[in-house]
Amino acid sequence: MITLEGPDGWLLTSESATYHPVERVAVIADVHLGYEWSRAAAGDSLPPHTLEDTLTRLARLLDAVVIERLIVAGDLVEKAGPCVRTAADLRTLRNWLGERGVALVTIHGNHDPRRGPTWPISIELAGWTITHGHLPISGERTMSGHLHPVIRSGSLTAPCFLVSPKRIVLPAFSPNAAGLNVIESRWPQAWIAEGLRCVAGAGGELLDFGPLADLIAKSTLR
Amino acid sequence: MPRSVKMDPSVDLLRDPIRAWFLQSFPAGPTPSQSLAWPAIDQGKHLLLVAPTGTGKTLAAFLAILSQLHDESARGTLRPGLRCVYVSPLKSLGYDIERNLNEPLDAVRKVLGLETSPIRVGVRTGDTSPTERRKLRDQPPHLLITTPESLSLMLSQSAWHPCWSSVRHLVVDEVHALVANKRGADLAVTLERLSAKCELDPQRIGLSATCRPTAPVARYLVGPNRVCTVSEAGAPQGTPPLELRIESLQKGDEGPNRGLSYRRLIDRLAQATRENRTTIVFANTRAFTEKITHDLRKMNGSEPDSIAAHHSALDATRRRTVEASLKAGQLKAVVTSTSLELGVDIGTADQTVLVGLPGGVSRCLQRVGRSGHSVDSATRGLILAATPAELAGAVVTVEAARHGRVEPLQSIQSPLDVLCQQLIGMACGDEWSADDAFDLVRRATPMETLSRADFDACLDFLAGDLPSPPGAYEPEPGSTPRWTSPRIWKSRGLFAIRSKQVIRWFWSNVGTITSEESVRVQINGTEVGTLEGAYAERLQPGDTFLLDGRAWEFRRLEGLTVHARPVGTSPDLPRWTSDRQGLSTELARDLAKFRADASRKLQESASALRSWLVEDHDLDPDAAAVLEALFEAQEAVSVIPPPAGILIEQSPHPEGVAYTFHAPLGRSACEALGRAIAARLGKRFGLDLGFLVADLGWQIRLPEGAILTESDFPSLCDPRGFNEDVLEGLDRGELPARRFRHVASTAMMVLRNPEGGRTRVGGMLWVSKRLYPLVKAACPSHPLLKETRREVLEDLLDAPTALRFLESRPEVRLRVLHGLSPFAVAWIDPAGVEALQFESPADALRRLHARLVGI
Repeated sequence: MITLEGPDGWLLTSESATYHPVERVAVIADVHLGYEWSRAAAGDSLPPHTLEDTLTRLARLLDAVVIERLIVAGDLVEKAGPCVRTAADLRTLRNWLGERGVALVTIHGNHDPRRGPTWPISIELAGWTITHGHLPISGERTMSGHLHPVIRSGSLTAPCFLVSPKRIVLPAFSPNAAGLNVIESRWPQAWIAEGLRCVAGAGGELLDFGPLADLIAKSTLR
Repeated sequence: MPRSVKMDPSVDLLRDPIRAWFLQSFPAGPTPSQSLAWPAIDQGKHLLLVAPTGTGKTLAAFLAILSQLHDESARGTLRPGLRCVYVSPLKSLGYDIERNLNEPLDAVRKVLGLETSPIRVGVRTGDTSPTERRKLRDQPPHLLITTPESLSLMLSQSAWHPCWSSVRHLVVDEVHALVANKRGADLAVTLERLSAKCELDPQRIGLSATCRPTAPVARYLVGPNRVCTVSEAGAPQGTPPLELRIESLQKGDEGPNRGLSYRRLIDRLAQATRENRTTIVFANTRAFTEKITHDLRKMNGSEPDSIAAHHSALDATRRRTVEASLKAGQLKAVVTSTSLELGVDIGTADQTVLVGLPGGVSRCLQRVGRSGHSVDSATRGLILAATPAELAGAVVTVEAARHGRVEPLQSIQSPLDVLCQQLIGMACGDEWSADDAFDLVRRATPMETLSRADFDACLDFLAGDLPSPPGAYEPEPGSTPRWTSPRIWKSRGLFAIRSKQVIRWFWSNVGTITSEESVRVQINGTEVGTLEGAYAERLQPGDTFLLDGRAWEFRRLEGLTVHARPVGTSPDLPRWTSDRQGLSTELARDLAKFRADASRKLQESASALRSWLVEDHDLDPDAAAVLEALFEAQEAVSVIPPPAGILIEQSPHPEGVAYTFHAPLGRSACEALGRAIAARLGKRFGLDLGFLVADLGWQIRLPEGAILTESDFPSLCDPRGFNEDVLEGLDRGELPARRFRHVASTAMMVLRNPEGGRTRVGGMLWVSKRLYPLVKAACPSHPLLKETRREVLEDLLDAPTALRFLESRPEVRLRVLHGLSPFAVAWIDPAGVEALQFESPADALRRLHARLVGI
């Protein structure tokens, strides 16, 4: 697994997670567990896969980091409404992490259940506010998901981090999430002014693509 | 009527009062198709009636049946209940037929002095209201007019079961438009389901426009186990010959200039609408239809509403209004994509203008046949060609059309996605034994070669019985189904559907017509039509777009509805999409020959080429000059492709190097050969590449540094291993994934209209990007993967022709150029590049990084 340095002791990893070695915490977002049950309820016939996919990739992550907590910054599950199978998958996930000495910490996202025990909207950690990102974000330094940023070129779709000294936007952990092409999207001026950079990963590789503003400028020249 | 005129005796097969009505309405007597049809119908044989558009085929079928029914009614033996089912692929055609039938029925009723006609006619389509549907079911009319999808739906409803036994006649209209596609394959099975429920095997009457050969069409209509009489009627005597002209929008040797050509197009169309009472314009694509309608309306400032658009994304009510206005002669012009190509009676238009190419002779004749619809006025067609490539295509199209060389039609072989949908429909209405279902389905021609193994695999898929990935997690063993949402219950050789939910899914998703994701457009609460989902998602408040020939301002997208308001100012010019629709295999062959002949003439001299174009091909001097300029330019910049060989042109490209291949092959053979060569280049260089295909050639884009030399030719063009390389070139690209999306919706693996409605655009993209690889990993032998491969290899690609070409050891020439050659620009559309993947994602990322950021 490859890591690149982010701000304030955070590392960006090629497994779509941020990692804070001192705090022994890793953060992921937009797992969308139980996506297949949601599509099944709407009538689609497909092979179950999200639990297996998620555990396989978390196994790779845990092989490379030492953590006590895994924070999911929202949209851990796909269906906000009650779903027995998703709940079962979630229990399995929690137990699997527990067996490896990792506690699962959840933050509420727009897809997460509205009934039952409420998950917090945000968590403070090492001076950073970790939240999902569907509601307006406030805080000096924020880490969020929700946007599913990617870079696209030809047949390559590479999930990416958007990083500035006070902001980290996480890529979607789930490959089922439709990606937002960072080069074709419009971004708040404030974010660009912070010097937001794009760090993209694919197939185990992770590379810093530099300031987003430059990438966008280069693409409009074509 | 003068005594010297002898009436055709076939009219005596009709009985009064229908006979009397006919003679009064058509004093000239029966048309050739009518005089051929009535004896055969009277004898109860299965019949395929082939005749050009607008020559009275539909009336031929109906009058014979109405006559029989009236006869029984007069003798008091007519019982209530279904007697005839008429199927048309076009909803609006159904309503049209109903209107046309009411004329004789009403006239006869008055003659008989009755309050209501003893013969009842009903229409059932997707637009029929629930109340009306219930009425039709509770008291079935004698004559039911419907569509293939509605028929499949009715057959799956047990409440309709008792209604079918009295059916004696099945009429299928526009058969030629059904034979060669999946919609037709679906209908063929539906007809078998219907026939099985009738007390006596019903008489099948198929109505078809000109087709050649007729045997496959007849076989499609009646299946492999029945005998069909074929009657071919020419046009009635005195019908003026087909008038088909070509005009070039480009003039002389000026280079291509989109803006200039477009302005000339609008001016020429405006001129046509002034010269004619009514003009129909075929613009091929919806976007272009909208653009042209908008601009023509502007030019017609005083009466903008005399120009209307017609395409399938417009609201159904709006379309009906346009059709009625057209028929009443209230419109100066109608611009359509393809929706007016088939049957609806739209009265007499004076001229059909085709913008760009129709793609095939049958379509050309269909479209041109929309003008001069009454039996005695000429059909006049005009093709406007915007580019030299279109011009060349127009020349071969017109020549083939003048000789009536329509494309041969062939049924699709064993489409498994259609089978899956049919099995669901069958199981909704009844419990079946697998053996009986297999036998029934095989009575339809498209399914006659279906294997029992494939049939069983489809049942397994529908029952959720296909294997899951090894080690797939089952938290509670046995309680989690192997695949989500099984559709059918299957046990001990029987299958059925128990779940009301699945039945509802079927009812809301029946059909094989797949359109891209669309969103509805509402102006102040009124539905106007639909937009492509991907397009709608990119719109921002304030952007303008076109629909129904008018400009609208986008305000917001809520779920699946776009809210917009009218604007006065005209919107930005969208990209001119000149028609790049592939030509039929036969026309592509003609085009290759035309190009080769033209180059030989040019070798003699420029004036030899010019006079050959003008005299032998009937082109006006302007158009001839355009083609001459193209060939001369190609000769100057590069070289004319060798007539039986391949020309490879290398030119720089922003992302590396582009290789353009020119070969005398149509698009589907180019797909096969192009992909095989792309696979070989991909394996050779180990880099991702871009692939574009067209008629007569293809282009492969490689990154910097991938250079071809003469020594590479033998391995690139080696016939050995060709089929494997075609498959490799397919699997590395995006085409199978795109086709899988359609296969999965037809087979109802994913629902186009899910329970609770779709809440997000983009759901179907997930199917090609994610579901396709998941299914491949989970179950490589899945019947829908097999169907995707079959469809691509048999329906889309033409590998045998490409292989034969390679085996002829074609000459290969290479030219290194500074830019794209005139032929490349003319024939290969740069939009729609497909990515072929040969690198690992990590390598691709590194290369992208190097390109965007630099080392």
